[in-house]
Amino acid sequence: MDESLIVAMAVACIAEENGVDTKNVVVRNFKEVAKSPLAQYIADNNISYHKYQLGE
Amino acid sequence: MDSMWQNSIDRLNSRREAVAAAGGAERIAKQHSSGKLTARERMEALFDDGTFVELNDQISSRCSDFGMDKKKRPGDGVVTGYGYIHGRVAFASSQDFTVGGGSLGEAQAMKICKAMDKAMEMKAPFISINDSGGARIEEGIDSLTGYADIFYRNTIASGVIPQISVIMGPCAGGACYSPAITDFIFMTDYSQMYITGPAVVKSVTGEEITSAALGGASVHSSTSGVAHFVYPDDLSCLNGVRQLLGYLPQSNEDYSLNVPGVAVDNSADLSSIVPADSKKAYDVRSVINSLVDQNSFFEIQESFARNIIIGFARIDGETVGIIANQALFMAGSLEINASDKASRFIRFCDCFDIPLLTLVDVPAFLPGSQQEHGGIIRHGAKLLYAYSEATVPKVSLIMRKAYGGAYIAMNSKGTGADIVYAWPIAEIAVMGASGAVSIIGKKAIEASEDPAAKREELLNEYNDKFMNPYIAAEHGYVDEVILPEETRSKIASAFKMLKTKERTLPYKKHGNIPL
Repeated sequence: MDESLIVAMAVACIAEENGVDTKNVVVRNFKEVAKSPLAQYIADNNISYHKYQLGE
Repeated sequence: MDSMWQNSIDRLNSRREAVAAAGGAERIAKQHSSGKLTARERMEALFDDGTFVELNDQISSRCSDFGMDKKKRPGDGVVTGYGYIHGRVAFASSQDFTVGGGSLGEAQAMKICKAMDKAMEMKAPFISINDSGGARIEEGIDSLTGYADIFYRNTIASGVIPQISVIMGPCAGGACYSPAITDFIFMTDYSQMYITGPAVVKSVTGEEITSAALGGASVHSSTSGVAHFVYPDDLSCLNGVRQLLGYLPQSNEDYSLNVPGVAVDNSADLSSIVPADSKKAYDVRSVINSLVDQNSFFEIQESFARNIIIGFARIDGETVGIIANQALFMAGSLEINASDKASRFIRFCDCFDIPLLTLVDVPAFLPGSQQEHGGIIRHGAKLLYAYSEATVPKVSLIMRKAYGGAYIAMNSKGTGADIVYAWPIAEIAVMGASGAVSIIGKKAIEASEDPAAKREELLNEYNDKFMNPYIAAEHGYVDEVILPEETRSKIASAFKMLKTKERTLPYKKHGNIPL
């Protein structure tokens, strides 16, 4: 995905969560969050992992 | 921003980076290559995504002996803090094997104790992840006192907050006693626990033994009974901890979450699972799974004392603790290990207001000199004590055999069961027909012209008179004789009715359970 699509999706999520129109969401800046050490380790080692959630 | 601000921020960032770097890239790579996660990765896997908050990351050792002041030990070999599991706060410590082998000194112990104290103040579970070479020898008595401080807190917190130990590497010497005091011990396949390692064992006794054979996960889950759960790796193990916590309350002042599940009533299957012939075996786990919410049974110590099954499950979304005789092993008889396993579980459930469901199919306490000399009287008494002492709702279902002292010990009416159900095939008696007739009919059989026929006659009489649930029901020891297909609804109804149960024990400092 390119950056503009990622930003558009983020804006849509924020608008939905806050119950506002996407036109009223202004993006001032954004930064890519690096993978956490655990996520990186899992990715590097092709580990199949799903964190247990209550009720599963 | 002025330069003073900038300098201060740079200094903080530099210190933070040093702590985050832990033992360095090389040691982290070594940790990973042995299939283990780092201390912080474990915290990330344990807690809900993005919720872990580290505390006291700057605490470090004050020791200067043996050149300790020259060694850098970021975080002093442990990561501590809090986070959320299923949206509820929990505290944890995670020893960092990449920093000084995770060895425990005064400062590391202080970090762990501070997290434990916070867990107690917040009335939240505490999880201790162990991966340590043991006491930091350079710190001498301060290191030993550090262990003592932890053991003391483990003991004071027992019965107040759930305490879970997770062994993910070596756990040797005195370090074993913190996990041993806690409520549940998880181990990974490559972890070990022992009071004295193979080298010391060899030097003292001459015995040659590997680490795994001495104190590996397999040994502790099946032979010693020290470990409650074993998983192949860190990630699955920490998922297991998350799963367990889903059944537990935050503390003794809290209640378990109601987790709505699929409440399929499979009671109709029960008469085909349990043979009416009490000599035939079956897997009691099939009975449990037919009674509880779908896929909700979470077995504990499944490889240890397999003649009794214990675990948590949910009925109508509510957590219950289940104790069931397992006819597949030793015909479900009670012996030393089964008594210990069940009584400790019952006491845990009672500490944390988790109702108890007991499924009874027990022929006896296992006879023999091995059991008598091993102290079956003392160990069996724990089971009686634990059930009698427990004030939580207690429901029993007598499925088939319930004989003698073992009947009494398996949550009988006399030891405080709130509701006792029995199936029509239940046999509630002092002993089985054959043994009983040999004793009470001895003279009549010997005096008879046809002893075999007399014995048969007496067996039929005994079976007809005693080997059923109706005398117990007539005398009020069984509240209702029920059909298999009624079982789940009756049990669910009983627990619903008992939800407001209040029963208090007379004032005492504490009881004196036969340990």
